[in-house]
Amino acid sequence: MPRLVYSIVLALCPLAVGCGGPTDEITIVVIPKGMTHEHWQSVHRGAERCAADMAAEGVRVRIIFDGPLRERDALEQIRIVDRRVATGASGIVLAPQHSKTMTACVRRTADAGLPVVIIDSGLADPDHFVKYVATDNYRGGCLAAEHLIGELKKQGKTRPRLILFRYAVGSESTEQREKGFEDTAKQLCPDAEWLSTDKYAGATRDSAMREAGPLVLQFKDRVDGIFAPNESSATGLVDVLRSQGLNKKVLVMAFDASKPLLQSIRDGNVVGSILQDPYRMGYVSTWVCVRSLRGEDVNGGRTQMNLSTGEYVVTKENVDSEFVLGLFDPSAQARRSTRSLREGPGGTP
Amino acid sequence: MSAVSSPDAPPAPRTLALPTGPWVGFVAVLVLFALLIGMKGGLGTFLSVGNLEVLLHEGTIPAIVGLGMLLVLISGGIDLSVGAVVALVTVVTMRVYTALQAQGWAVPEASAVAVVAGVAAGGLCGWVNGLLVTRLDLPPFVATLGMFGIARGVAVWLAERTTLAFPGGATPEWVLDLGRTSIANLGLWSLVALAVITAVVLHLTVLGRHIYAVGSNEATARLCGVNVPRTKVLVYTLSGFLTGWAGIIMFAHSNSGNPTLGEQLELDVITAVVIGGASLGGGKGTVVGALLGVAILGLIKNGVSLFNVPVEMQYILIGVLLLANVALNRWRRGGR
Repeated sequence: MPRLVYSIVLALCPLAVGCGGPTDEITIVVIPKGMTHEHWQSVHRGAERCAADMAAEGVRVRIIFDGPLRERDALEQIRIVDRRVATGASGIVLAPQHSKTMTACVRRTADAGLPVVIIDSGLADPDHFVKYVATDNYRGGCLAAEHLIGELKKQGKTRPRLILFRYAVGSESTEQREKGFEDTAKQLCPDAEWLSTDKYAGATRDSAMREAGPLVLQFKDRVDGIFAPNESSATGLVDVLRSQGLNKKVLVMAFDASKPLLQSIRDGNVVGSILQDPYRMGYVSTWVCVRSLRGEDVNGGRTQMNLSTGEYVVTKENVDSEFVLGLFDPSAQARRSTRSLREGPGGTP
Repeated sequence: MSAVSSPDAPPAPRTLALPTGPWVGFVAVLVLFALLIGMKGGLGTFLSVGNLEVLLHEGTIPAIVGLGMLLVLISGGIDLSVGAVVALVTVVTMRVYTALQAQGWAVPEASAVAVVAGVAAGGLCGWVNGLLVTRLDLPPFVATLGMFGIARGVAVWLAERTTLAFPGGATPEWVLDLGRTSIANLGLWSLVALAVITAVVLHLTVLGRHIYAVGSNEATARLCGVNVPRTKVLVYTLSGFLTGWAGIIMFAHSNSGNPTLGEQLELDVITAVVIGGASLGGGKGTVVGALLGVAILGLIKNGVSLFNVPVEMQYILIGVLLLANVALNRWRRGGR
């Protein structure tokens, strides 16, 4: 029986040689943290768009979008990186699940001579990737504070009473947003009163509702504005405020978007949200990776390692504008110009 | 392959004869995927040396755990705790390493002690499993299910609900080496060594005969003078040590101590070993069969992952193979 196996393997070998892929094609493997979130689908579409644009310029790029099914499957993400490196990837675009544990496989990838572009979340080891392409979460938090304080001032509240409804311990991106918000709000309104800054919404809309309930009950007669640093915490918070008839009375500032959250912005239950640009994140990271493979200097001799893909204040006024749609809607994304994707849209929505 | 057995061997199974079932399954899966992937034009990649290295690398952990599971299954037991124990081992290893480093220990010494502590944690879990099964007379399914919960819980508690990375992000060289996808990977060669040792223990030692005897018919084994409880405790402890070593390799592959690792590893490994010809009823199974079972599962996952074969296909194929194999075995035995 073993002999049969060997003979079959041997018989397949010539086929294998014959089927070797064309050598002039560049294969970029885009590895998200997970497969299910809409955010990653936008990243994927951005990468595919880049490949299409490159094809129009005569460079053949193939995108492979491969990630762990679950967002916390740490070993599987490492496996995917190693697997793809060993089986003919030209370059890797990676959204690391963990800033420290993913360093070893990124180092292996760099040692194998492949360029790695890190997207979305940081990596602790800066020496083995060519560029970090992500949202500037700190700046997003600053923008959130500016907008919320501005809206409160319009209502004549110059000494607003604020709540910072945090997301989770150890989540780097949301901690940056919270810090940006806190710093800017303190700078703009030194005598604002902070009612609560130590409650955590947790991972889901349900957990956010459970945490927001007592918080709102405790401060409902005093609070003027609340910042919730991600989609689930904001949605859960709005649910609670609505059930207590406090929507529109308490100003909510959010971060990220989903269909219900965008509807809340239209209805005025949420005064604004900060949106990221995952489509451009996928586009630019792929573009940087391909250019690096073609020998271009993509980081100014390792002096410009960070590239922010932008963070935008979305309000009732611009929520249905072409620009904002282009951040998440597939058909609006496809209408964005190649130039704006490469150089940044410039200006504000 | 010829069967090597001493002339006065008892009517034990023809232990070194290769089981045909797993080979048939292996060839079937290989041909099926070669055809599927060939149609997409990726055969060169599928059969490349790079991919072979990937397969061996990813198979190392389930194969080592599978050796332990094989011992347990042959003895008529089952071990559902292995996935959780692997996670616990990674956490213990990282905790010990970090603590020693903080006290100024050098990397090699701290690493050695941490590895020993990790493997010992695995062995301890196995030993306790064995005591639960023999002293408290718990069914192995229940005893190891309890251990599954306890080990996972302790791992999460020790890790304080997070993933533990190396202090200062400084991963020791040996961890990087074990994590490298390469034919020269020491973890892979440790698997080869452990497989040979397990085969020798099973087929050429008294303990091996006892393990098969206990699994085939416990009452008869007892009447023949086999110390059944001692054999069982030994089997679970050995399995624990093997799982502990797999945990060290998991620790290196994941570059972390992480209490969420190894989810569903127990089911994967049991499936693999049963596809490889072992029986949940005990008394049956070989090392080669178990390794082939792991290879079949690895091949399916690899093909599905690399060539965009629909993921559903993976589960269906594994399920069909499992059923077909066991049915085939039953039918052949019934036909005799």
